[in-house]
Amino acid sequence: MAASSPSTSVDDARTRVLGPALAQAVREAKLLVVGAGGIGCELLKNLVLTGFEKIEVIDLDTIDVSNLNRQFLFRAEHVGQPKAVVAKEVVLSLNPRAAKTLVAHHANVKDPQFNMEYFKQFTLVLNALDNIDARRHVNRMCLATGKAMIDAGTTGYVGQVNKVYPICTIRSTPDKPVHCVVWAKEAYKLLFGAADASLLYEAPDAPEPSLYMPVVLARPEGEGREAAVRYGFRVLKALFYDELSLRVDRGVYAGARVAPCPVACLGDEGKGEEAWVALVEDGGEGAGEGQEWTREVWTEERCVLELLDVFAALVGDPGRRRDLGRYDFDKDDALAMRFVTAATNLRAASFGIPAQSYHDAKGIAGNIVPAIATTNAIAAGLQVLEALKILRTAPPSLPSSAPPSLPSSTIVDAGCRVNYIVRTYAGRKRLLLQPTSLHPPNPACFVCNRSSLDVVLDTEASTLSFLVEKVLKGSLSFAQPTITLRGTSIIYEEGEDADETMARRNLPLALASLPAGGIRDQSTVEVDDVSQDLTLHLHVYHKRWEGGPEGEGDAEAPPEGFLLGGSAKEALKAAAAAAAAQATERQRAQHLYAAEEEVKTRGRPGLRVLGPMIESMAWLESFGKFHLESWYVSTLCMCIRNRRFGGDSWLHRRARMPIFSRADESRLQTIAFPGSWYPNKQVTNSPQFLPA
Amino acid sequence: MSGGIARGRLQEERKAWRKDHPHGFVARPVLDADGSMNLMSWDCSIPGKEGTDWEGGVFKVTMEFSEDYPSKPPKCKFVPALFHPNVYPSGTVCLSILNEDEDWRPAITVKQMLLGIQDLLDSPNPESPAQAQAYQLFVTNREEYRRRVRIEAKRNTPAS
Repeated sequence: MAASSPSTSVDDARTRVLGPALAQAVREAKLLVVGAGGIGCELLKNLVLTGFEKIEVIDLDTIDVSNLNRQFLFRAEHVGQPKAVVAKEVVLSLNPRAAKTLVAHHANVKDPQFNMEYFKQFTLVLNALDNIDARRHVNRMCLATGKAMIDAGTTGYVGQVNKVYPICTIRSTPDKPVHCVVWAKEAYKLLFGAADASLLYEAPDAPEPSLYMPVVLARPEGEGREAAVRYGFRVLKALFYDELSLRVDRGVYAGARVAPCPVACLGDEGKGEEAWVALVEDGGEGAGEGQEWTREVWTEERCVLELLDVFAALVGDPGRRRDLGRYDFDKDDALAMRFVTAATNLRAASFGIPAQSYHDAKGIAGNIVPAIATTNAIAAGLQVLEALKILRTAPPSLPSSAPPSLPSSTIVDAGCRVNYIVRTYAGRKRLLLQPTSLHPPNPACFVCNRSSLDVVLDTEASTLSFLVEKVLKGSLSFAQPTITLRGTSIIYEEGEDADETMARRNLPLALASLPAGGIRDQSTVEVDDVSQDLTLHLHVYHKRWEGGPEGEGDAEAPPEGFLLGGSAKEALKAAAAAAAAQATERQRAQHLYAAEEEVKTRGRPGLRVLGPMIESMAWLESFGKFHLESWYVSTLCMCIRNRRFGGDSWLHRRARMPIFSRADESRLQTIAFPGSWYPNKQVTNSPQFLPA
Repeated sequence: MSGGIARGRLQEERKAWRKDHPHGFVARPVLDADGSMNLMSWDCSIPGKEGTDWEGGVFKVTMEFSEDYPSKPPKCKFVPALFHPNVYPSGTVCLSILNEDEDWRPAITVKQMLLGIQDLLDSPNPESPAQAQAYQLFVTNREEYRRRVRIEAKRNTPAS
């Protein structure tokens, strides 16, 4: 059957790359993807292309125009539809076989329907969220249900940096484009919006009156473009020339590094009002075609013309004029953005700050920390790699293969990494992707406060006094321990207001004969310290060492008479089988991770690990109407290459392009996919597989 | 286990009390026969306020918590029963914050309860009498009432 050949070939390829066991684990694993935005889109596509079939996705949002530049699953015709639903439909075209097992929820992950029972059905939970609140919630659900969660987040290239700028800087002496943009937004508000809410607004009785306020307030009596343009010119001259000149004369900028210079073409030595009016009426140079003009940096003259044109449009048009005073700046309003861009640049010019293109100004004005498609792609790619690691080490079909006392998380901890994507070379190895061991749980964390420790001792021979003095105080630095058994029975207290009768009675008793059932093998003992505000759960294991602590017959017998923590675990797992199994497991894990680490460290050979994506790439390339699959691999490869080889500024430019053109894509592919990277296969552009 | 809520809360109360409690007060779970603390039953002592007729006395109170705590208040009892208009002959304290149907709230702590009882000592509420003897004297013969209170305080002064 011809239709089955593509998926068969892709399946074969996946099996070859992942190995039969993992390929099966991937097919059987049930995943929850929370979020279908920037990272979520990438992630869903990656998962489906990697061979995952059972996926549920939750997102409460609908698609907005501004999502289209980086959320590649969405196209213009999807605007307004639920993200989760559209994302599901689109990725289905990559693997129609998953039609029954892909589920989309247009809902909030915090809704009661997504309760513990719901979370329990999944093998893994992948976060693609944009806020801390939902992350916390999902984290807690995963903690409560014991599910592994793989989180990802991006801000621009890296972590979050909140920009804070002092307002006085905006107004008087800007030295960064952002200051000018903020100033321009305020000017827009002053002129067309709620003027008295603008930072540039001045009450009529201001002590040191500015020159521009009266001019701004003197709106033209008559209607029509010309009156509006003349009004606009007067305002611009006041704002960018007269006011600045006045301030320079007053010595406001005496301390500034660079003295500002008023915009000359608006001043007395410039063209003059009549010439400008005539120029605007000619239509000026007019906006360019397509998207190109948004990336140009306008000349001063162009800026003035743009501004005058905005005045003509907003003040000169009788319909719009009625709304004066009610305009709110909106970065998606082209007129407002043109005003802000031009005003930004005129102000920037006065202060010797580089001018911005329309596009860049929009980025700043919208307070956009640009969500960068490539960073999202890397993050989502890494999520899949981590997911594969977890599936490798803990195949869902064998959940209880690990000995019960050895949580499978040990292996996961050994293999999984926190991957930092950084902007510049960092660290000794000078890498742009920095895999770091998972952090140990924070003992002060109230969410996961299950800090626990294993202790092995002879519960029949050791007394409570031994536990308190030698173990708790001697080894664990407790000061005033309180010991609680079974969660509710306090059997020992000391320190402030302690019950000393109880302490005297219980201290000499052997652990096993203590009240409330005693401390025996597998008991959990809760130890609090009132003075340290610390809680610890001790897991007690009973062991009798032959010949006592100093006996020569048993080399294992610890001199102190007890074993703590890791060493305790080892001792208990002396059961050879368990230990051996663990070692093999660990070795296997390390072997498997080696390849993945290679991707990050040495690039090319490790790309084999990206095989599933590369395989799928092969058919994507031929899949004319849909380019994003190739994007995944190409962006991932490109990012690794570029970030390692210094193509950062190039990346930056790319990532900000609204929609990638076909030409860009093919150029990328030639860079990113030389056939030699595929060990077993030449990649060609000829359609080998077509989707069913 | 349903009792987990009550015991968990009482464990926290115990911790909180040990970290910070008012001077002269005692509050401690009783020791069970087997040597562990019984969190459901507390022995407490309340000192009479300085500058009142109750000064010098230290009054023993027991608190019996139920598995419904903290939805329901504990039963607070003076042992032995106290000469006071709002203390029943059995010793049980009649106080609005200790009454489930009146002002009890689950957020009220052991410390607040004990301070509330201390306040009650010198500010009896004649609206809700609980024993005839003290109530009668309180409303008819205030002088005799105060004399009896001083005797009561003396009787409960710990030997030192």
